Amino acid sequence: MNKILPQRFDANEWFLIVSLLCVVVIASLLPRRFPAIVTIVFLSLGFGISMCADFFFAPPPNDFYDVNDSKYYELFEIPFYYLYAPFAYLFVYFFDKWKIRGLLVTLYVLIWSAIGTGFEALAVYFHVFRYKTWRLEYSWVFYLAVQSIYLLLYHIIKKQYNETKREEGRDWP
Amino acid sequence: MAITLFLTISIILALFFFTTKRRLHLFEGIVLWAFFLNIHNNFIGFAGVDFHLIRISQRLPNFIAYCAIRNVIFPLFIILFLEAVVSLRRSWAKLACLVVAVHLLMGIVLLAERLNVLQHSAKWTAGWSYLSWTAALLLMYGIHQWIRRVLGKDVIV
Repeated sequence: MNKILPQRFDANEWFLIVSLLCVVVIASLLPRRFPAIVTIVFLSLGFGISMCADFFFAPPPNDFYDVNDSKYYELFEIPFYYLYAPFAYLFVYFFDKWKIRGLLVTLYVLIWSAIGTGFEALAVYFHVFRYKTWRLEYSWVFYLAVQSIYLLLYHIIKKQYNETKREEGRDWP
Repeated sequence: MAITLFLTISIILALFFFTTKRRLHLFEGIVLWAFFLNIHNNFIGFAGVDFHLIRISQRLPNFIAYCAIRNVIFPLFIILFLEAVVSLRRSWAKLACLVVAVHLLMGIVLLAERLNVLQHSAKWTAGWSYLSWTAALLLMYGIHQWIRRVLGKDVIV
């Protein structure tokens, strides 16, 4: 049982709780923009992709970093993954709201990758991540790639929604 | 051997999945994939990493094979199972489908074990495999029912 619970309830646990609360509050205070199912899809992609990546990078044989206090899987790794969901939602929310097109798409991805890397640097400071061979600059490249894929998925999801939407369904122009 | 076999199965399964007519909406597929990873991540995290009941190979090729199983083979297989369940009307047929799916999933795990992709500890019994896969499939079925209800409000299912 002591492997599941945090070794000490300190900075990393508080950082996760406060960050999760902040992003969830921000995301829920924003006016509703997407149909309910689309919101669920974007949130699911957020934690699905993070789990996929983390499973590849964190455990041996790669073992690039540990999450939280130990090499074990702690209870606080569950909110850690859910943190990515509202983050991903906010990313597509503003992309859709500001109708970003052309060269601005690149700028938008660069800015959000910087936000993501900055947030991860904070997480490292609060010992959420304990890097072994991983470096923050790898995260930067990772965010660039994932957010670009995420925008591609955004277009596919939007096209699919409008193709299969019911007449009385919520509009998503 | 393991990496070749499981990557081949993953690619063939993905090709089949994306080139044939689907009964499930793309959104259902995405949500089910993510929720399955969520369930599996917690299962492997607690049962494998913390309690050492399951040990995943630390050889990179075998570990990649396991990633293919976990990220592609299991989720696509479960989505195909849910598609089959959706198309069946009678409860006994759905139950039979569940029993077949549990055995097929256990077969994939057994094959992975034979090829040293993963190992169960001596404490692990076949009963736990039955229990965990049945629970996972029932949970996925429940999630699917919920998604379908939400989806049906805005989209033609």
